[in-house]
Amino acid sequence: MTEDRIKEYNEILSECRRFARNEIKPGSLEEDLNPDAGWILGLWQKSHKLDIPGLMLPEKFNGPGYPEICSAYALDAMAMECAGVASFFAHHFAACLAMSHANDEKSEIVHRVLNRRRSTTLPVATVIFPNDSNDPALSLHKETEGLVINGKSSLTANPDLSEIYCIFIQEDLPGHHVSCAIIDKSHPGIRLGEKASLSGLKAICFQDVIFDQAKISNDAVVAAGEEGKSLFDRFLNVYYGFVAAIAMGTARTAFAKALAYAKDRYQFGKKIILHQEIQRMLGSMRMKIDMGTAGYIQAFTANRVNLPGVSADGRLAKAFCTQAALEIVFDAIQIHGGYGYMNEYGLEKIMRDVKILQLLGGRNPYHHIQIIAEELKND
Amino acid sequence: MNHKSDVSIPFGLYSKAPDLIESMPGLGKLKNACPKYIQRAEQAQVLARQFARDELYPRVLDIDAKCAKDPEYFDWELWEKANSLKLNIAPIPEKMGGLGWSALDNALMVEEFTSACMGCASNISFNTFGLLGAMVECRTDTVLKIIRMMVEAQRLKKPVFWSWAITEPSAGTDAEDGDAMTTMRPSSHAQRVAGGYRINGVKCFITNGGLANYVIATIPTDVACPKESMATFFIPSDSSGFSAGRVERKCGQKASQTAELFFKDVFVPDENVWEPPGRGLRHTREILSITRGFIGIGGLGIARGAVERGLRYACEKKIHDHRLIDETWVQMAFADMIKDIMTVRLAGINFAIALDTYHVWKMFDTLPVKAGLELLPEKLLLSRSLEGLASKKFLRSIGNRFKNRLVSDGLIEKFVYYGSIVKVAGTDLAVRITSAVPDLLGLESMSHKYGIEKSFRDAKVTQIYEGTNQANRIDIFNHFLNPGDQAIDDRRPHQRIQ
Repeated sequence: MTEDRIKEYNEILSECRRFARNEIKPGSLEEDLNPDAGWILGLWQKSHKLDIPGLMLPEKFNGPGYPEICSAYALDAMAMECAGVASFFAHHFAACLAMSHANDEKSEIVHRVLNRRRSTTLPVATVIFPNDSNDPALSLHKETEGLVINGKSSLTANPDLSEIYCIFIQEDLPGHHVSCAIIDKSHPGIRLGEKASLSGLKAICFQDVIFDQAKISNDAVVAAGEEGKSLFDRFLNVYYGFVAAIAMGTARTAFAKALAYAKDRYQFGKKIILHQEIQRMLGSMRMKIDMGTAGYIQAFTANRVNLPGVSADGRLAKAFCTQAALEIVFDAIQIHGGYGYMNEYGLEKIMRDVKILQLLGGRNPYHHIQIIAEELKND
Repeated sequence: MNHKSDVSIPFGLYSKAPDLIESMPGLGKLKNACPKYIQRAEQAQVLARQFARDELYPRVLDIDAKCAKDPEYFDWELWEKANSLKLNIAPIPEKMGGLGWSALDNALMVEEFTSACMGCASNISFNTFGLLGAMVECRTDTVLKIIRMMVEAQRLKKPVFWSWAITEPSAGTDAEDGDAMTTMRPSSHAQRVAGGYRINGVKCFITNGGLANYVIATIPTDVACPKESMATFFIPSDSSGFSAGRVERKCGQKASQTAELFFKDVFVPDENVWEPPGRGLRHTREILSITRGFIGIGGLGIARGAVERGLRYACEKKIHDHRLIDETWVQMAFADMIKDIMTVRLAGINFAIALDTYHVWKMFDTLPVKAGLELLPEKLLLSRSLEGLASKKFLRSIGNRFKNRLVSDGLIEKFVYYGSIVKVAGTDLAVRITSAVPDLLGLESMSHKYGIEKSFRDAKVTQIYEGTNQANRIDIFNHFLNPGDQAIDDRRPHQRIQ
């Protein structure tokens, strides 16, 4: 990366941190207790001042066209104050990746959905995609005019507040081809199920999206077949990389809180940071943050030296980073003692948020199985 | 894929049968030697399991949701049901109105209840702090008075809640450790005044804080020398100058109310000084020598509850042509959890039986206590006249001397060691398993309605209270290297438990 690029990214990171501190932090604990859609939509509006919502969009869609890693950094920064808010943006960014893929011929649909409101703010987007959490997946029937989708996508993130759905659906053909379509929330044949009551990421809602003979015209399909599969693979890598980045953002805050508390708290005759066991815990947390951060950055790095056995798969970054973040917040709570378990200190919220992050887009042990099973298929 | 497994949950909330011998066949030898002891334990397990299945399990999620909105919400109907079965006074001898449950019986109850809900379990079965606290110094009249108060309240369906107040804002685990106490900075203080003590200060994270009728508090008379001056006070919550703060918003265990306690010139008469200055740490250590093990068993119960709920979910979850439970990697993961649960369960049961054999429960097997319970009529046992008689100087100290001979300082430290091992093992297991179960089941399993996410939230604090697991490890290590001179059974053979 060039020095200019690094400088540019650092500026974006600083802006996002400032946004997180000034706008997200003041409301994050209250929203965890009493979630209110108005709060996160307010943040969405405010985030336009920094062009955060369009970060992923290429110039042809009036965006700056930053690479995906830049969005991951932004999510990392926002997650330091609220993983739920960061997840809201992550699903939007992931949908933007698919929209960015639209070629000139297909770009009209993207322009249409992005400009639909004729306002200065972008509409919120989210993604619906097959993963082991929403099995059985949606079924797809291809017709000459387009696609017909039936079934249920379990616990989709943020379908209520999103105006655009980016859907990936596996085609029932050899080679596991995938179709990717971009549609409005109000599309006929689509309805939302009940809101789930999950223990974390309360800033956003998880709901089933139910498709009942939902007909999607060919215009809305931005990729299909092998091209769709290739886009889907790229999407998955980026999506899981985003979740990993959010996990690391939360871990940074848990670590910072634990470090500050350990420097302040007096027990067993001295400041607790002077106890070797606390130093060991903090050092181990630091290791996990360093390695996790390196891991998610690697998932976004296309040009790498070829080291044997390294896949740089986003799923593995997500599995590692979410597990590391959970262990970090467990230890941060432990260092805080009883205070860590109380709502006001914000750590127990991070613990609940990270546990849900671990399960976003599939179970971590299952990712491990899938990765080897896929390699076997390609052998 | 292993489609052959026809999983029906073999133990726990989904089974009515007792499984004490079934899952711990080594106890068969003890059952042969002391049949009544094990039979009673099996009966206790059946009763507790039935209560957990029929009363706790159907309502704990609703209680959790209500407490999330209003931390002061308390399910009095559930409390009344437990009270009607005397589950909240279970250790009190039958002759005196309790259930006469051994430590083993109580441990089995704790495991069953906590597998349904740790918060509700502590409202019912951890409310024996009062009795435990009084048993430490064991002044005959005080013990009789506390038992009478608890039994009378049970009969009148009147709640009597106890709080045990150790932790202070500036001193958490410090207040539980002898070495740490020498350097602790207490924020509460007891000043000697005519006829008693005047107490000022704050205690925090106190279980039952907002509900307590009585508080047992350890407070130093000299803040510069807390270890040497720590005393234990019995304080009715209607004492002038006493107040409780708001009920805390916690991550989990919401059914159990936690609050700060404030003491502003609270006068405690001499008769309510349960341990004089200098003996407070000993009092704390003795209670810890019992309660730490029970918290470990609570952690075990949380882990078991998560596994049982997870197994049911995995049996019902369909994936294409099979169930989630048919996948071998899921079976391997559950097998590992079951192995750990069974191992820690053995440690917990062993601890409970050791309490019955060597600790304060042993009193119930001694001739004087047995004879007293056998010969004195029930009415007299619970009468104020017996209390009055027992308050005579000679008689009041008999209980104290008798008990101190049975339960020595060395034995207390040994049980802190045993209890800490169970505590760390059980609570670490709770955190690990409640996190690992959803990893097998997926996002949907973290919906509130499945109870698994509640287990996850409930688990973490068990590693913190009753001494952080780090402080417990210090006790484990120190005692392992310096176990003292006295062997656990280096004394006259105790009477057989029956």
